[in-house]
Order: sequence, then C-alpha cells, then structure tokens
Amino acid sequence: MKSYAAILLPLVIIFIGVYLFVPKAKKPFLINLIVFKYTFAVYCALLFLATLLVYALPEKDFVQQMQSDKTELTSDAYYFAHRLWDISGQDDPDSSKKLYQNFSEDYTLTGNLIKLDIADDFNGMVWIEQKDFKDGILEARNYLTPYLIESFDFSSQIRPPEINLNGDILQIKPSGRYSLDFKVFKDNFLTSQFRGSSPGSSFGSNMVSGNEAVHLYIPQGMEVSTSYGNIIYLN
Amino acid sequence: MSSANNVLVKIACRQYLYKLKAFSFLGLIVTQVVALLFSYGGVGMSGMGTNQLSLTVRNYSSDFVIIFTMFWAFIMAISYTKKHAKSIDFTLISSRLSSSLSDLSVFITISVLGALTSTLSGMFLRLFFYFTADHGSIINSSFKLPFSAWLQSFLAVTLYLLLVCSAGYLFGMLMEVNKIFGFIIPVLLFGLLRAQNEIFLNMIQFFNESSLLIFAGKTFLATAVLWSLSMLLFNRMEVRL
Repeated sequence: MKSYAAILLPLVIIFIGVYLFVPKAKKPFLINLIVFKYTFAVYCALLFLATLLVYALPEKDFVQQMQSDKTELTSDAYYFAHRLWDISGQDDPDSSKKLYQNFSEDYTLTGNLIKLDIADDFNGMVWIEQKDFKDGILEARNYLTPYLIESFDFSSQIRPPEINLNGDILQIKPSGRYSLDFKVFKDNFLTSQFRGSSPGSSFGSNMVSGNEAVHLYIPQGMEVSTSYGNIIYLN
Repeated sequence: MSSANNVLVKIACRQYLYKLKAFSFLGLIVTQVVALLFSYGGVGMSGMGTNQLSLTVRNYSSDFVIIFTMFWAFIMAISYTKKHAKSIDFTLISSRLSSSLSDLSVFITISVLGALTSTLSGMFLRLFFYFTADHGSIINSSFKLPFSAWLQSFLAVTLYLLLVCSAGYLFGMLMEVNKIFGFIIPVLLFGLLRAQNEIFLNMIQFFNESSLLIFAGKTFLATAVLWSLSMLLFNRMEVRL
C-alpha cells in the first residue's frame, strides 16, 4: 500500500501544480462553477456513503476489547504466564480457559527413540506425556497463556513454533520475532479538548507477553533424548 | 424590527446568496484530499517490544484534514477582503454593513461545510483502512464513533473554523489598510509564542475549555470582537469611485 501512496502523492502534487500554474483555456465561467458545485455534492455524497458503510461493517471484524475488568485481566494473564508449569499438572490442558491452543499436529514414528532438537532461541516449555498404549503416533500441541495489550486479547494472532519431524529428530524452533501492527483511530485534536482522551488512545502502554508450552504426547515405551532444560515430564 | 433593518437583512441575504453561488469548493476538496494522503501514514506511532514480540501502534485521525481545512478557511477569509472580492458587492445595492454581514454568513457556511467534510473524512479514512489493511489489526473501540461524539466533533470544528475565518478576515482587513501588517502580525505572533508571553498564552488558554457550551460562548464572543474590529476598519476604508 505504501507504494500506492508513493505514486499518488506526487500525482496529486503535480495535479495541484498544473491546476494552479498552467494557464487555462478560457471557458464560460458559470459552466465551471456548476461543475464545481456538482463536484462538491459528489464529494459530500461520497463522504456520507463512507460514513454509512463504516457503521454497517460487522463488529466482529476488528480486534475486540474484552468485557472484563482490565486490571483483573492483566493481573490474571501475568500470573498465568509465570505459572505455566502449574497448569501442566492439569488432566487436560485443552479444558483450561487460561490456555490457548494454536498448534496441533500428529506425526507417525518409526522407532522407539525420539531426539529433541530444540533451537537455542526457543524460550517455551516442553511438556512430555506418555500414552497408555503404543500407537506409533506423536501428538504435538502448542499452548500459550494470554497475550494482552490493555484489555485486548491478541493471543489468536501469535504464531506457533515450527515443529518438524525428520526421521527420529523432532525439531522445534520459534517462528521468528512476532511483529504486530495495530491501528487505532483517535478523536481529532480539537474534540479531545471536550471528550478527554479517546478510547484506545493509550493502547499499547500496558502489555502482558504470554508464555508458551509445547505438549508432546508420545506412545508408551518411547524414549526421549534431549539436552533442553525447560522440560516437564507429566507422567 | 424597523423597515430599515428589514431592508438591510434582505440585502445581506441577497448578497450572501450571490456570493455563495460564486463560491467554489474545489479548493476545499483538493485541500482535504491532499490532507487525507498525508493522513495515510498516521498522526502518531508508538512501539514496544520484547525478545519475541514487536508491537507497533499507529494512531489515525482527521487531524491533518482539519489543520489543512483551517488553512484553507483562513486564506478564503483573507481573499474576501481583497478589492476584487469587495467589488462583487457593487453588483447589488449594498452597504458596508450588509457586505460584512453577507461575508459573515458565507464564513458560517464555509465553517459548517468545512467541519462536516473534515469530520466525515475521518470516516472515509476508516473505511479505506478497513478495505486495504488487515481487519485484525484495527482496534474496535474507536472505529465506530458514537453519534454524540461525532456531533461534538462537528460542533467543535465548526466553532474553530469560524474563529479562524474571523481572524483571517481581520488580518486581511489590516493588510488592506497597510501591507506591512502582513509582515508585522505573523512576526509578532511568532515572537510572542517563542517568548512564552503570559498575555498571549492566556489568550490561547481562554479557548482551552472542556465544556462545549462555554467554549461556544467564548468563540461567539471572540468572533463578535474580531468582526467588530474588521467592520471598523472596513468603514474607514476609502470609497470606490
């Protein structure tokens, strides 16, 4: 889009320059005025139409503000992010409302040994849980605690780590630095004099960065070889 | 109302309609379209980040459009004090008072239309980003402005534009009296602002009002003062031969 603006801006400047400085052919004055009046009417109609369309847009399309108390939400998210290992003790992490699942994949294993190759820059936890049966399937899930900015939950936008199985090596590496770009529409500078700060104007000042955990559900009797330190064996 | 007043109002109305018919809004459209292009990059940006996360928040508003519209209104007000603009008055039976009243009416119209288009342009900007940017990056809380907030915004911008027009009209009149005012006044204002002059700052503070009603009262008062001064200058100008 930036390229569009880069093309449009010089075009508009050239247009204004041409309009102001290039001598125009003599035209009947009143015809020009009528054209200008119509142009203004069309411009106003466009703006009204845009306004109507804005109000007709579905609410669910935007980043939603959560209804709960902001302080409570933030403190909860902060608490869960630093007590992720506590949640690992639960029978079913999927049922936890404190966790989001953003990755789920099953891998077929060939041997009885799995080597974990975890990238140095991966900061998440790894939970390893053994099944009660031998089905030769490794189930990998990725969970994360809420990522909040103010009372906005943007956990759904966090990308999961890259998990790949090559032979008996399971590679886990972060998907790179997340980059989130948000847009906030503020009141104009004159109106803020009467309305105070507009909603969303302090957006971004209070952020809780969540934590993540890769849950590996391995078949019975499977051995795991790894040098990674941040691992919890659930059984 | 006396018959003389009645006639004055009729003449002023006729002059107003005549001036409005001759008025082109193309300048306003071009100004606002350019301002919208400048608004594309946002009016502010904040960012923060951790090892894993980089967060950028871009703020958008119709600030540029309003500032550009104010410039346009100021220049329009000055242009109405020029000789060629004043000569329009001679096509109809008129007096100095009716001419000033019709000018004031034109500026009220300009202020209302300028405020309407500049506040609605903010909606256009929202729609533009809705269709061109990722919806998931737009915060809902301020996207759909409540009608009361829009109305407040519209009234505030209208009043400020009226104030700008009045100031521009007086500035134009002073320039008609002597061209040197075109240099002295901007320098004086800039100097007072640089020096943080207390009287000047109090003058600005006078309009820093949180109640729209009181602000409206102050604006009308200031407009009346500026207009009276302009009228005074206009009345002292030489007549056309």
